[in-house]
Amino acid sequence: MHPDSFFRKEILEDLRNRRGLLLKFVLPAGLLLPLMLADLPVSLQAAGITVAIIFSGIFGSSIGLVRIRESGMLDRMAMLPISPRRLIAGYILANALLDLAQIAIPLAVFLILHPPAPEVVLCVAGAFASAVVAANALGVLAAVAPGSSSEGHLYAIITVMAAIVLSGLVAPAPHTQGLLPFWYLHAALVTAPGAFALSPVLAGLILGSALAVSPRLFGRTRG
Amino acid sequence: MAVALRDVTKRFGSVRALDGVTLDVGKGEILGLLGPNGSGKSTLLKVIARLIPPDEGTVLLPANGRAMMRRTGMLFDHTAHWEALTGYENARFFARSYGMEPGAAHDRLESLFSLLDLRDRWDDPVSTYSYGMRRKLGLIEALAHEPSLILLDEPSIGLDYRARVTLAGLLREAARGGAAIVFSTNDVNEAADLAHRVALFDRGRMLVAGEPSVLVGSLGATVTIDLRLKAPIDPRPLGQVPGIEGVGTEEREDGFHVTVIAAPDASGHSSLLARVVHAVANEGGVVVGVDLHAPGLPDVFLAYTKEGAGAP
Repeated sequence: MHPDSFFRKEILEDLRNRRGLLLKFVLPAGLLLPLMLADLPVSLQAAGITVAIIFSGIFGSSIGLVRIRESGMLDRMAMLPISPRRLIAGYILANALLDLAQIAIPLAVFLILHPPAPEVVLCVAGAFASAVVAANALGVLAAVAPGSSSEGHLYAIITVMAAIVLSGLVAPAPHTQGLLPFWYLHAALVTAPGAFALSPVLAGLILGSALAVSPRLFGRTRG
Repeated sequence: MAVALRDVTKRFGSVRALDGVTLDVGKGEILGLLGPNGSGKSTLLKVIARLIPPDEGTVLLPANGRAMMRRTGMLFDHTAHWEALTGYENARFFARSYGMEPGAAHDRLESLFSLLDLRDRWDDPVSTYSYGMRRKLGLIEALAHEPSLILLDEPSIGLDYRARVTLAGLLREAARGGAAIVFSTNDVNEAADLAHRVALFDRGRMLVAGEPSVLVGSLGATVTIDLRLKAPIDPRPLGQVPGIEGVGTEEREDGFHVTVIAAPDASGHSSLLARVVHAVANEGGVVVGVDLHAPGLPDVFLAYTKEGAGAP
């Protein structure tokens, strides 16, 4: 495969970094599989998977972009005759695919242990994909403001915590949880039929917001 | 005109990185930007590249938006690359992003990698590259799509001599093909050798711009030729040689010296030297040593940029 687009470049770079790739698969599995196999309420296990998606999506995308910007590569990419939105869409898609793959194993174990009703399977799949895309898009949003790597970590942590709390994963958040796709994934995992409905729309809105602000990520150069 | 800047000013906080710069660059022209560190050269390149907008003034380019980006190649002052990818993959990403077809991109990259002695390392990850190799790769990425506007921030830094010569050849060839080239450098001799015109900057202001020989001539400095002879001669006939402004003699331990002061010769110092040596020979002198000091672009740089100078 040749890196003929930003999407392909991201995939190729992830595949080349074998140690990083191994960690990306081992860490979620190492953290989530004991949770899945423990004698815990289903809602807690579902929350574990949802939090993992939020964390890996937001943190991975955000820190990755801040690092690229610090290296100077975003300046170089700002010179390309490709729209920032298209570049960032490729970035989000590539990172979302990786997140889907790394969370798929714990999710599969969860679904084997707690088989969903047939009418909920599609909900789970849709909500899973929506949550992964939304988390990565939030990561891009969190990367717009920071001016340094340490600021980037701070913004990412704040965004992760906000997403967890506002999605009602710690305690019910009746006024906000329906506004984020993560709550719908959690609901679908605890087999609530129909919970999936709004999540693609919300993920689309978050993705749209990330793409709308993406030009601000480029060309932030100084003398 | 390929690039036209009119009264361009750029501030970073209270610092005026560019201060009312007006400058034209023609098609096929190589313009060298000279100036002390922090004089605004890199900022000017980024303003031309539309990476940073000017606070005041206008930047006129032959096209707008992505059409212009497709025609622009830029080498930054840093060596950022995708570290896990190979040199070829890095360059291919940029070539394809600039719209090159896969086959054409491959052939052009192979040619440039070979020219810059990087072909045998193009399958190695960039993380294993030295600083100079990264700079070469940056040049390849900037030039591969044959842009009509080439912006290079200190292109020869980190390059070995052979690569510098190759780079100069590549840039001259691009200029012959109609590309406008703007490069910044701290190497005054490089600017004198490569640039058709030089623009001298200090503290964001453009002090002067022109052909190197014209700038040198504007200094009004003289050429000094010191000839060591086997035996004394009558120096008076040397004063009749065109361009000679003064002649002096001195008997030293190592021989008889004739010192000639002359105006800079537009046709080059070698012809002036030939005339002087010929005149010495006519007087029966035998030259056993020559020392020539001629003003050059380094003198222009020093004259304009000395503290508080602004002009010589």
